[in-house]
Amino acid sequence: MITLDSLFHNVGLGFSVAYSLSNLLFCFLGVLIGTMIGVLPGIGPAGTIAMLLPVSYRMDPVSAIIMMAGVYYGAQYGGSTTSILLNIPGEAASVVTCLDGYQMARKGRAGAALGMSAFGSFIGGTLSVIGLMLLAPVLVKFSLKFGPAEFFSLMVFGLTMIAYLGSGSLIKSLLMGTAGLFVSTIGMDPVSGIIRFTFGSITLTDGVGFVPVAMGMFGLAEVFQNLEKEFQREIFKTRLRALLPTIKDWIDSRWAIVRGTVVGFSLGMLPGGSTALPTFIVYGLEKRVSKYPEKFGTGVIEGVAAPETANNAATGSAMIPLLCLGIPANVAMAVLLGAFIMHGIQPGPLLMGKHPQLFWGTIASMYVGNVMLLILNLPLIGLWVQILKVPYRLLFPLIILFCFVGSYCLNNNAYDVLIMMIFGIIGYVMRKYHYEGAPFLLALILGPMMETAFRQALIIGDPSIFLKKPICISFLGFALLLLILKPLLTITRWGIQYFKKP
Amino acid sequence: MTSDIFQSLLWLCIGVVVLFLSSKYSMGSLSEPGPGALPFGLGLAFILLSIILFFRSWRSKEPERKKSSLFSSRWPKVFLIIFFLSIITFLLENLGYLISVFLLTAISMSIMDPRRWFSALLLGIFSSFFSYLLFDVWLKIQLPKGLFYFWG
Repeated sequence: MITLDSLFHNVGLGFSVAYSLSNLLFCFLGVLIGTMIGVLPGIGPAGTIAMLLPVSYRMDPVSAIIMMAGVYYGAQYGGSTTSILLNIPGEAASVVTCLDGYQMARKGRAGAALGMSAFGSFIGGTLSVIGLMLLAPVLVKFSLKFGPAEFFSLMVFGLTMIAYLGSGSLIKSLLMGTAGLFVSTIGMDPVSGIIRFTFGSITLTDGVGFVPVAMGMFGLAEVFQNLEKEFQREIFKTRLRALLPTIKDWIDSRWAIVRGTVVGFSLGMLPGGSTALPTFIVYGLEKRVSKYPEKFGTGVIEGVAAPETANNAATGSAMIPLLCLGIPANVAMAVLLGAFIMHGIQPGPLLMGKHPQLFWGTIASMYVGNVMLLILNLPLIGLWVQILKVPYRLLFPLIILFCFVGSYCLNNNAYDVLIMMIFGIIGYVMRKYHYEGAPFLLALILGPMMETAFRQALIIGDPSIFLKKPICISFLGFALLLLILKPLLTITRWGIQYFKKP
Repeated sequence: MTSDIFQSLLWLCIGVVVLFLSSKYSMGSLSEPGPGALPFGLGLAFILLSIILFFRSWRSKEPERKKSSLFSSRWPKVFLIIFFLSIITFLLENLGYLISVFLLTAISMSIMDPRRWFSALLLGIFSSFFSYLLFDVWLKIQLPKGLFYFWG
């Protein structure tokens, strides 16, 4: 039974970990880097966390995870700044903020928009951490009953969701997922120990490391892609002094913030939910329930408050599947999973019992981090605007440098650098043809776990084991439904068109 | 949408190669699948998905969302950076960390903005020196000494 007492005890433990001087420092470092890369278009949290992995190698695992989680939720704060001031989203999750935020800036209300987005982010982020704290123990208790068959079904469902919710074509996402699974089979077979598909390479015996792949696809490829774009970097000249939203702004936004929190939190948990998806949904929702939907897009404060609250509310809940089930909900969480594994810790149902310091310390640090972010983003907003003036010709070589050194440091092996570069090129070409990197990377990470779970499940029982357990049936059923839903609709449409023809 | 048709053929080839490669490993039985089972299944999945992609692009009459071309106006820059990066990667252990990273940042910055070769030079010197301090001195990660083998 999860009692209130044990919850208070655990939260207390968490704060005692998070309030140690070194963890406060790393939390600050994390949210600082997070805000910075959030402000800068062209590099996202996944690539950044991957680049920080080698730096964290010698750190205490708790501090390392606290710092990297800080990068993740910090990026959501920073993303809004460029959306509002430049009409360029710093992150995918801030695309919607451009619609009304930039219009507010044009009307001279940039300060109110920035202020409301910081407050909304703070409220959404903090409430979502509370939700994480309450929900995590319940889910852990539930998932402790999971056997290999359940885990396999859950992972199939997760990967299908990621492919389904991606922005590109479903077939292409599924192809990327399949490719990721195949690349994950390179190296030693986890069950029999047989070496597969290495063609005699010693580096490949350990498999294709996901860190060089993540750096290549989400770091280097990002640089290559941005080299082709021209950024218009004229910062909106506006008065930034009045950063506090007026009372009217608050009254207008209060329900938008509540809805943003609820939508963000619930969608953030879903595999593939990411932080971007809830922003689109909540913006649409606000427009629908608003008394003046026609004004959306002309600079209404709800259009800023709702998505900015939602993307931060999604950050707390995105940690739930990772911490409780060991299954990442999005790419940034996948890289964080890599950080856990690098430090010899397996996230999952046993994490809370085995490493309570890490589990509760990370959650508590997210409260602290959100307070730090509010301070960083409100009074210091001018500083972040200055960051935008750092030219890309300085920034990009440094990103390349970090990818280069980072992939080398993993095993002191130049071949890892080569793998990083190959996946940088693949990622670059892939983006040109609208293939997404997320299904590939998640499949690469989940692949070995999935294969092991699948084969263990079959060794325990027979193939019908997946159809005997209700949890398995529901996960696999949902996955199947997602896969056949779109084609079924298309075929029905074709059929109707065919019969309508005279 | 000829590009999609071309892509589907590429995926089909990948699927066939995967099937061929995985047939070398034991498939095992249904109750105890061997190391070749999953890759074989993935090969089949590649082929199935590529066929769907082929027919979908065949049927689709919509114009492509955005003209996706591999070669935009700036691709030579990307190509040059990839080219120099590969050379530096191969020479990393011989040249040593400091020289490699100096070349890496200086060259990539001068490719991005050829007019500012002097600041590229400065960036190369500073970034190699400070990243060496960060990784080797502070984080104690062994970096290749290369030409500076006599040092430390």
